[in-house]
Amino acid sequence: MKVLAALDETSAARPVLAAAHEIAPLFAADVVAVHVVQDGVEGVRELADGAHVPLTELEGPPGARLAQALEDDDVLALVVGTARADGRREIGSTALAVVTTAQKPVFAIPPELPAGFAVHRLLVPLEGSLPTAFAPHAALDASAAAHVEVVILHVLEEDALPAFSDQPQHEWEAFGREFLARYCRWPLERVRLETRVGRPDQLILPVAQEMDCDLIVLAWAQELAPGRANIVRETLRGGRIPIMLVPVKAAVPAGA
Amino acid sequence: MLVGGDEFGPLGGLPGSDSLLLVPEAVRATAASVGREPNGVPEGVIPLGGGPAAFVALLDDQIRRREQGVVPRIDDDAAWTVVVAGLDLELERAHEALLALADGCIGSNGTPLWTHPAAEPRVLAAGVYTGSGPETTLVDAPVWQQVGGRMLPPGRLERTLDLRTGVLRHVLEDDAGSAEAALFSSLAHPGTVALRLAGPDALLPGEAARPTALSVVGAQGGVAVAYATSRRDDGLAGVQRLGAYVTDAERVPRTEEAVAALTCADGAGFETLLAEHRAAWADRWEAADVVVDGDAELTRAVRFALFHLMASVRDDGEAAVGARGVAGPGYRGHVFWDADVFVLPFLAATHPPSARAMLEYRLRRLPAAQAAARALQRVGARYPWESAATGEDVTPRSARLPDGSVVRIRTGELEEHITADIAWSAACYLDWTGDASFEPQARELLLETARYWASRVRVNGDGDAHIYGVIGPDEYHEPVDDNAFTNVMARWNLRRAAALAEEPERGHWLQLADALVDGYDAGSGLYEEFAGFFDLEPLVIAEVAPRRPIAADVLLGAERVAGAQVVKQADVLMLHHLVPGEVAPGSLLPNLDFYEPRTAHGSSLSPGVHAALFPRAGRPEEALAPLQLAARLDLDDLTATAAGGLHLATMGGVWQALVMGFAGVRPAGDALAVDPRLPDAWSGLDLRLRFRGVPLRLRAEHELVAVDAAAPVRVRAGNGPAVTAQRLRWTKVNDSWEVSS
Repeated sequence: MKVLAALDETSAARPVLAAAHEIAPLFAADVVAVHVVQDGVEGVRELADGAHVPLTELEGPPGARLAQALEDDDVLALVVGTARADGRREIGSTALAVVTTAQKPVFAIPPELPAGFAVHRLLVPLEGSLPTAFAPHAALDASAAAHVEVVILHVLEEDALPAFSDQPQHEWEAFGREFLARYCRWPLERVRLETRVGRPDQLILPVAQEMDCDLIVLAWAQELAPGRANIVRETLRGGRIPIMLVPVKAAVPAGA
Repeated sequence: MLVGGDEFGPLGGLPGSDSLLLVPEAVRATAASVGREPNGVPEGVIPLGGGPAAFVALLDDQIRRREQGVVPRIDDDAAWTVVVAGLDLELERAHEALLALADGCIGSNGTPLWTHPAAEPRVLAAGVYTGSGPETTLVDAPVWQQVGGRMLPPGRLERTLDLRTGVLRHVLEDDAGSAEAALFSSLAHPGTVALRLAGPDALLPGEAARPTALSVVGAQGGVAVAYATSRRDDGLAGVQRLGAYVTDAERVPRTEEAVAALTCADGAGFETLLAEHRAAWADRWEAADVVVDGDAELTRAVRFALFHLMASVRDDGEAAVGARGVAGPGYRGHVFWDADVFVLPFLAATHPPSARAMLEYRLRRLPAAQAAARALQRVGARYPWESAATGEDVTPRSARLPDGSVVRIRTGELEEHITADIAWSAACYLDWTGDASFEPQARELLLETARYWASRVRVNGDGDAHIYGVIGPDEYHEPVDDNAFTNVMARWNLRRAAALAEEPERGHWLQLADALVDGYDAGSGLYEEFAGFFDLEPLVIAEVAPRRPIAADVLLGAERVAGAQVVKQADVLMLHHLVPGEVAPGSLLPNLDFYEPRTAHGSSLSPGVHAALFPRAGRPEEALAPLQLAARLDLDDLTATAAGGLHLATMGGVWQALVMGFAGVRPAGDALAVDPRLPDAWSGLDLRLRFRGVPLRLRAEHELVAVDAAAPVRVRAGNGPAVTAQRLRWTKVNDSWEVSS
């Protein structure tokens, strides 16, 4: 099985490939580099050769071709860079075309990927709904990712604040236990629940830093229209660590 | 219920003699006539005909059904059932708590009979703990309510809890056919459980399991259980399981005891056990049912609450009633004032042996409370905020809040009103029951708690007495001085005990009680919740919160609410509810108007208390919203924590709102006072109560009070004189209640 590393002729390619090497084991997969040829290929070839990674060269509209490559049955995920041509750290047009259509996870890698990047601890923000809860778990190979610690983050927004807090020394323990029972399918011995009060788009990155997480996992509905996906936008914009975008399947399997 | 006869229809112009069997209580029974019935039968009666032979055949059929081990049916009466259709992945564990079966000793949640990842099958033993200190939790006992370890197959699952009989029915329809099961946890023989399941082979365990006996060791006590599963293939394939749990808070029962109990249960047989169980529940409902005439759904919700209150408290020995009962592990089974102040009054007024068992739990921990007082260089008895096996305080010392911060928890050190609350519960029991046999123990409890307060109070040079450094029911502010609730409850405790004490304690306590400041200002009619409360930021939570109830400490942060006039739950107003005789006459209205808008109702105890107070203030319509909220709290999982167990105090608060609030019923000396104030939408309230040993039915309407008692009972309506009679009627004339018969 493969994890594709989407390389281009920019400086973003090197961190993408480095990240892909650390991400592929989470899927029990190998890294394969892909490059949609546009205005050069030498740099990419050199990079792939140096890393002993097979390179597949494609032609055509980059976004559409990468999305097509991701559809192959033996491809499990795609790793792309988030640097845009104008230097803003948000997902670029190529990656945008992929993430909004892909039915598989896409890893967005910031240009300043930390040296020695490795995935030891995931931050998984969960809003408290079944589709978004099960998507991240379903996307990762449970046994291959068995060494990874999981920090579940649930942010209580003002309109969803709890009505009651009888005895805080018991209430939040009970609340947390039930939240995990409802929305977490990872083995609980590997899971830590963190709750915060406020806006998720403003809290995910600070909590990721506070909890020393290497990777943020966001389940999302793949809609980037104005007013939608603020959490994804803000996290991509400010993130210094990779972000795994997992498309939310509409249906949750019975007994999931 | 089957009603059989041969003369339901009219004869000679007179109603048939058997028509007298068609009483309102039997409205949902099946009635059949084997007579000739020349003039037809009343509507609903099945005209079988056939005479005595048909009658015998009818009875034979009933016997045959029992011999075949048919799964018993329940009455699908919407007024008495809670139905969970399907298996909701998010709410499953909450549903299992709602559907819990309990008998006072053990609680078995309503998990599916077949395993499922979202299910958490659980049996908890009341009052049997493991661990120590704050980590003390209820023992998890072996599970009996699942069969064969088979996965829940795809299909339509429906679970129905019959509140009237305490039977949980499962129906599963899938491609393999339809399976049905009935389970109960015997109220007649606490600890005995039974299950019967019928259906196609694919849904049944492969073969009969051998009898199993095992025990679970707790910190002091333990649980022993034995159960046996049998399978029969004559006729409809079926599985029957009988089990026996022996629980003990102080020693670990031997498995032989459970085996012996199982042998007894097996000897009685499923049918007899079921009949006795149903009869026990019928007796309990006869003594406790509540009907809100004009709101059928509220009546059902109230019955749901009363069912779990009755099921959660044993009626012998000692009853440790945890805040979430035995339907879930929440709050670690710890016992708070929830039990004494919110649960006990309902039981004192309907099933005194359970209330007495709750008091026994406190009495047996009096030495621990005395030791706690001594440890603080005080005298008397100081009860812990959270109690479990030993009676020592088991309150956790820290908590992690939703904002991620870790805070110190000081309720164990400072929430001392629990001591007066327990004294109040003993008095409440005595006031309802007049149980002379309990008076010596009640006296000891009242005296020891009063001694504690006498040593706790500080008298200043000006002669005023104060209690410094406490937490009141409004736990948003801590520590505070002269919390009105704590001081007035202490004052009540001192005065009540003084009546039982001898000199010089008696005089000293009365003097202290008179000297205790309570923050009351006669000019405004307001009690200051604690010294300095009126100087805090005058924040009206009703005006700034997006909604109420709301956990204001989460919304605004603990620091902000501590500096503001934001109240977690009834604090001053709790006095008007519990000890109206200790507060200034006429002070309810100004305090209700001042404090309610400032109350976040961030405690699930708060809505019920306010629902009780609004009617007393002459505004019953305003009580409806908090009453509905309290009644639906667990049914709608409004806390998202019902999976951890049910909010027994809220349930008790619902009963108090109806009885003490709307009906205005409370003991007043040797009489029962009644003063109904109902909302327009209700035409009446029907209550079953027991006052001074006399069971009675009370009908309260807007302009009528009717009491029908099993023996003469002393009752007072409104401000009128008390009247002693077995059957009493009052009508309202010009805002006064006048005896009409």
